[in-house]
Amino acid sequence: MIQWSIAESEAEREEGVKFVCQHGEGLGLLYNWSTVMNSLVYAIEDNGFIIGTDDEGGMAAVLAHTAGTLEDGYKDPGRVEVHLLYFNERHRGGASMLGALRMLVQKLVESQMEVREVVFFAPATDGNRSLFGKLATLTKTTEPPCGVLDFYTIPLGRLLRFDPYQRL
Amino acid sequence: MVKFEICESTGYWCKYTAFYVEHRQRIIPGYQVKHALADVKHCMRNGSAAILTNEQNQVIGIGGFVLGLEKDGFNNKNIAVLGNSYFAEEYRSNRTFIRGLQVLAEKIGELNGDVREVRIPTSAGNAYTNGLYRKFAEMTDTAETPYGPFHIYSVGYDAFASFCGRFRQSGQAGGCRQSIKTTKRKNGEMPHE
Repeated sequence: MIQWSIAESEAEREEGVKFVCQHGEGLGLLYNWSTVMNSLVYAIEDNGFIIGTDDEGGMAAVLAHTAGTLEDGYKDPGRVEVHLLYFNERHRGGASMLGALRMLVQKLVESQMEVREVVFFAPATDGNRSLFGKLATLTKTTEPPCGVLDFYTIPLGRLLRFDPYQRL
Repeated sequence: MVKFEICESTGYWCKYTAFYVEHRQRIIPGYQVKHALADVKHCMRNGSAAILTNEQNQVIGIGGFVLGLEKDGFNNKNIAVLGNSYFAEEYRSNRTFIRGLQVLAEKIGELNGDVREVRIPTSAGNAYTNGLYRKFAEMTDTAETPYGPFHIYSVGYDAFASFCGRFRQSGQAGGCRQSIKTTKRKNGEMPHE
């Protein structure tokens, strides 16, 4: 079971970043490492760098999101962009993903931001489309220098069914 | 035998970043993770970096540089600015440090054969680096930063390369400007590089 917490202290941020570095070649992102660095800087500034620890207190996962998206230069804080979600090998599977979703929804619901939508990019593969298509809407496909990426959006209302404290 | 390697792939950059983040507050007291990550980003997009490894292939030091000044959007590529460097204590010596600078000097010349000046900012409170840089560079400015005053040292590229070359290992060939290659580098934020 992963325990999630916002990396608020410098020590927690250091642990989170070292975990990302340890798995840097297997994050499943097409981006250049400098783009990963950029995402983490913005996520830290927006209090959206979240670390997951296992029962022994070891690092098991990270999630990085920003308030606002790159699309409009982060002008609209009502759209939250998830830049990175990574689980180490021991913690991959539906239960961990569900736990991450619940944690994120709970955080967004409790935050003072008026979030309308969660968005994210993912490599344009059949596997990703099948996986993410269950929850998110594939809005567009882009071709930046790093490769072909799908852009997914999820209205907050659709995510609320994962809110552990709200049964609609 | 220690080894200097230029960061040429994600794997190298991961090692560089992990070491930098772990030791950032030994380089600059209170230095925040987000500032270290921004340094890595700038270094990748506008310069280069190297890691120093020991016999067990563990990272024991790092160094890097950017071409251009951050305040000018890294536009003037004729000025190289050295970034934060750090060596684990047991490997710290002037010889190792200057060999590291030499690797960076070669890479600077490779990225831009027209570099004229090398600037080296260092915390005013760091007696070791200030003492070392005074040997070959002139202190031209002191800037106030959130981490206290920083002295800026400046030296012509050729003088810098010549000073670093004094510890060149025997059998090692090549001048700093031998392999001149101009690379197109993107400035500003690219969505997904």
